[in-house]
Amino acid sequence: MRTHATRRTLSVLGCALALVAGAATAETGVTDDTIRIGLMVPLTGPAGATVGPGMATGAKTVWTEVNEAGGIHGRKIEWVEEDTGCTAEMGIPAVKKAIHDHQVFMLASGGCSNEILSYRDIVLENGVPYSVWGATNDKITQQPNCCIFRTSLRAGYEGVLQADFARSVPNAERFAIIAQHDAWGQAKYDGVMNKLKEYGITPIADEEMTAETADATPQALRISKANPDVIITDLFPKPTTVFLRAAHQYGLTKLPIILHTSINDLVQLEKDVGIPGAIDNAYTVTFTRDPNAPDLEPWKAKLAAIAPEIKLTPYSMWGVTGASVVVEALQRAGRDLTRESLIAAMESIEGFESEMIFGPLTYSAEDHDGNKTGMFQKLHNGKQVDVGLVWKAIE
Amino acid sequence: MFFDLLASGIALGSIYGLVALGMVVVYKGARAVNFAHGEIFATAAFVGYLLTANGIGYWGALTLAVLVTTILGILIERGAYRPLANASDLALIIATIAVSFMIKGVVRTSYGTRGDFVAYPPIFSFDPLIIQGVFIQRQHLVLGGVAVVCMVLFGLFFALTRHGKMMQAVSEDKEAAALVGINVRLVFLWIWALGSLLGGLAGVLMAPIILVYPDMGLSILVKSFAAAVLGGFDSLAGAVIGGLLMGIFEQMLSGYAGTMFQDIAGFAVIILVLLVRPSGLFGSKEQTRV
Repeated sequence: MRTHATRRTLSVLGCALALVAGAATAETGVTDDTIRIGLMVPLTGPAGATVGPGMATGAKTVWTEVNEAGGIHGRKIEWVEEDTGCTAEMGIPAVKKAIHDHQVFMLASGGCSNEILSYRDIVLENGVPYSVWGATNDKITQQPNCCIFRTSLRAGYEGVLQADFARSVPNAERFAIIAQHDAWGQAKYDGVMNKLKEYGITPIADEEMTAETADATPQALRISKANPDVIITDLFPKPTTVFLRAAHQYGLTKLPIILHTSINDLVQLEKDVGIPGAIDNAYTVTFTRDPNAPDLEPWKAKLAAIAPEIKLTPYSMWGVTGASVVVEALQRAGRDLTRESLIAAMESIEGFESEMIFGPLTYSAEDHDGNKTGMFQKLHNGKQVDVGLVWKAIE
Repeated sequence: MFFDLLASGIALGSIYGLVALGMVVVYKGARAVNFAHGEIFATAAFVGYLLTANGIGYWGALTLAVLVTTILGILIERGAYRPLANASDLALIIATIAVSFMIKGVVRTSYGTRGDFVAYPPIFSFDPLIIQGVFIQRQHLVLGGVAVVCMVLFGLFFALTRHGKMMQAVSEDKEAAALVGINVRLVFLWIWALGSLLGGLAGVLMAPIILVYPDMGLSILVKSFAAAVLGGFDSLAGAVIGGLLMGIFEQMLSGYAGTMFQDIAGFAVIILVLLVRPSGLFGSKEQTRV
């Protein structure tokens, strides 16, 4: 009787051990020769023409090169592309499909804050590592957070840079801000306001627009009446265009106007605004370098080999940077790859340099926002150029 | 600041009035609230943009875009209104909402992957006119001027022409109108075509100011609906005056109370009017529920 019971106990233990051992050797999305990554990109919707294809092509360029060189520890990267549409409606089913149907090892890309916030809990509950390359909302990487990392500059930090830059304008004492108070804009706005508060500054005008505001005359008038020295804006590209058209009427575009990373193409902004001189004093934050820098020239051909229509833009640069960080983490994690080992590897990255961005990326167990450095740019003779040297990172 | 806000309020209000006028024409004539009217406005803006981008001048693009939306109105009448003409009000409302989503879907299919908006080229230089210290945008002047001319022409059309009177007769009592030999079906077709023409006209006039994006119809629909409720949903003059008041109210509220109130002005007007004077300023008493 006792022998039978012991045998039964042993067989149960054996099965459990086999399961545990099996689980250890067969991590989801990892085989002997492949690592499957879910590439979460907006291919339709508002960002479908620019953000998604740019990021996806940047990543594919890096990973194709890695695969052609033999892969990582004998494994090649394979990717499944899921269209998130930049919306919760498409993002939630897309992430579920990637995790449960495609059984991916990890997720990567992620261009839109609202979309990622909608499925953030799903990612955390499943413990899937996620490298976010474009979205900025602070809450995406907020602790406790087992496994979401970011290579883009988070909104709160961007706000700090905007405030610092505004304060650096010679003789600037009166600051105005105009912002969207949705999930996207609030984080940037809070970053600006907290930093200004640290400096003991209260903006003399604090105006609001939504993405739908049709006419910015009241905003422009109120700011004009307050007579500021500098204007900080945290608005989507569309309301930014509407605001600048109205602001120009009242002479406000003669003042320094501080924009943000979502307005990363000043040449396009100038075309959209359609008023000569209206963005002559506009400065935008970016964490990616000038795409026309001579040393980046080879990347144009590499991208074109993957997708001829994709240029070297901030979006494809986000993709190249993010994909390179993923490669670095996979290399550090070694041949015995598990989600836990990858997360530990990501958290060990310190001072990672990418030729696409200004600052190094450094992560830790407590801080999954690797990027803390930005640069300001403005238009000069029709080209977007850096202003000053490297703008200091967040302390 | 007051006169600057007044000037921009009148310009914006003219557009709200023009869109509201299109809604009221359909409501008066066909007793249907057209919730697809905002999408007609958006369609015109996109068609106008497409034509302008392909080298057609602003006024040519405006004419063609208005023609397209007029045809769209006819198609809505034939495809959605006529089969449901004797159905309940709720069925008609659902039908126009469905049409609105269908049009938006088509526009998104064409433009949804081109960024979140396209910038319509300005009609005139952006240098404002400065009259007695008041800044007036040339584009606002044109917009207000065209809107006023249209309103006057429509007023005259309904008051003086045979077709206008036939439309009024059908709106009053379609059975009686049919008895005296009026082709009621044809009149309904004109009503939807005219309503859509007005929506299209407003769309191309407004596009250079507000930029063009697939969801632009909803916010204009809310504000124009508020204008029609304010003026009285069965009053042509009420729609125009309601639109102007709505535009001025919106600008003054955001200018003096705070810009955070700008986009809630429309909803505030709807609720206030329904509570205080459900028939609107110029609406007839029986039109208490719209």
